[in-house]
Amino acid sequence: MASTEAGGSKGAAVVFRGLRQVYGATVALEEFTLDVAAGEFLTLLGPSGSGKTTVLNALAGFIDVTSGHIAIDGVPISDLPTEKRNIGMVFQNYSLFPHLDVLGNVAFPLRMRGMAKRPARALARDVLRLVRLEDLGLRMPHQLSGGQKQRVAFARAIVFEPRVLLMDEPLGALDLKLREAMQLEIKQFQRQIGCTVIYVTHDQGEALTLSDRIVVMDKGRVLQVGTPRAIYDAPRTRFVAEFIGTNNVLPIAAGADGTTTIVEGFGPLAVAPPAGARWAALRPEVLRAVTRDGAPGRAATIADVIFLGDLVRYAARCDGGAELVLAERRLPGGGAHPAGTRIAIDVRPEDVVFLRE
Amino acid sequence: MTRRRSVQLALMLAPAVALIGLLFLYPLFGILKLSLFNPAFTLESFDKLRSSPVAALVMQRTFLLALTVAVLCFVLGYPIAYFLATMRPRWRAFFLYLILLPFWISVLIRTYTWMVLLGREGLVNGALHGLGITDGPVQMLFTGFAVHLAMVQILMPIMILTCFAAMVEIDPQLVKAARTLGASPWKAFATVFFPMSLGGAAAGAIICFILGLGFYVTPALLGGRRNIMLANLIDFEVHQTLNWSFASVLALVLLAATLVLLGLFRLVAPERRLHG
Repeated sequence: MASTEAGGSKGAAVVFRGLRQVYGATVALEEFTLDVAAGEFLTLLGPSGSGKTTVLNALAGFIDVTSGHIAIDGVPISDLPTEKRNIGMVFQNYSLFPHLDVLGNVAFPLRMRGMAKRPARALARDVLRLVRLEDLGLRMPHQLSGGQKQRVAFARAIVFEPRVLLMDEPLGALDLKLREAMQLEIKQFQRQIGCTVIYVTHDQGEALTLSDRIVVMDKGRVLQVGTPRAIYDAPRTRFVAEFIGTNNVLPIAAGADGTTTIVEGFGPLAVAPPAGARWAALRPEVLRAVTRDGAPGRAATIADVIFLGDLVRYAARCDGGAELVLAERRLPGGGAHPAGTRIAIDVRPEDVVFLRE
Repeated sequence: MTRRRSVQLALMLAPAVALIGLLFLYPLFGILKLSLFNPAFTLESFDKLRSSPVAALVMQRTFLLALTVAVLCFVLGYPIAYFLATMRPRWRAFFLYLILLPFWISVLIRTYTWMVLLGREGLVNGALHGLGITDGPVQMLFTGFAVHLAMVQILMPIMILTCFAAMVEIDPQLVKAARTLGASPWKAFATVFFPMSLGGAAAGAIICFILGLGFYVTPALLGGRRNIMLANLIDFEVHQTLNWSFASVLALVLLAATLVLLGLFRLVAPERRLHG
């Protein structure tokens, strides 16, 4: 497949309009509207029951949604059966056909499109080269490791040059080390073939690493859409703030003079809260622990020290009552404060994110 | 396995081994002896097996009947098993119960039931006549048709359950995967589901074939004189002609056929590797 190796095949734009799915009395998905740009790597992120799988099933044609429609490059696909949608899909448990060898699996979509056996297997071999498995073509799926199965599943999903690729928790069954390696590979493969990827995961770290944009979902609703950086730095709701990365979310009240915010259990901040704000979110890395006497900040005691190599994470208890997590970059050869150390916690007001809901 | 463990295992298996040895292998050895000694060593009965036109005809008929019944069980049972395996689990128990119900009734009683249904004055003839489709009673009892019908009815639950067991092991996601890769529902079935269920289906068909070879009551009661099967012939040689030596040889033929088929069964029976 020459075009693939040259990075020539282009992705398609996907449009979701008012997708809604109701099972009896439960709403699995509410008014899902989204534009996915051609060639974009978009991640649907959320816990189980968030509706992300419903979106995927609707796009793949496994379910008929209650209302709404989907179009790929302007062509409505809601009435097309799954096999006519030309969408590649990688499943969580790989779903390799156990009765076919690796080449047979990768050649399957080509055979279904009427290609003869020999050219189909030759093309399959080319794509296996892309995922660096060209020597394993004659193995049966049960003879492969988890990472190899994952790559075969990927090869099988792209061999017919789909313009949209769906990935449903594709790394969920792999161990951590392999998962991190595969994340990089997936990103690299996607750049090579240029197709639009819609990736479903509940792993926020994976979402941050891979995505151009993230759609955070919960209970069938979209909570926020944005780049990984925007989602991380400027969460709009408490759920997003707490789901992505680690965060300290504390209730707030407006100060009496109108220019300060009182953070419960922590103390005042020299900034007025925006109208309607109910919580302050303080990322561990924006909190600074200072041990000097008389340093500005709130007095606290380190309760626990978690050593992470490049970072040291502290669980601290403020004298005001708030429990906070702090993260400190570890300097070369630097130590860490032991538990029980008295510290002062300082934060710049501009690093605080205020949340309304 | 440790030595201690093997001793434990041997002790636990001893009663079963003793039972099989005493009640199966010993009589089997007796049959072998009967077939070869009369009372001195002779191959007379084996010669008779080769030369007897009756034995040849009955053997041919028996194998053909068992094969036809097995094929019919497959053709009729596979779709039912597929229906069961892909239906909603809520209803599945109910339909499985419907299939198992006749299975729990003795073969003898089911055979008698068919006699009641298919006889000259039976329900089927009564209905055909009453509806004006036939003028007089149709001969159904004591025909090959009756034997086939009853045997398929008796053996089909086994076929269905064996197929079903293999089908529920197939990950439904595989069929979905095939669909995303461009297979129509029919092609997804033909290229993924069917090949993966074939082992179970073949195993079921072989079990039906093996059981069909040894059928005695049903051909005896529904087949009449013209549909004598191997088991009936053995019975005839034992009770009527008292030629126990020849009966033993026929029994050995049945045993040998069964063993060959069991070997085949081991080859096709679904294995773990298909579900890795």
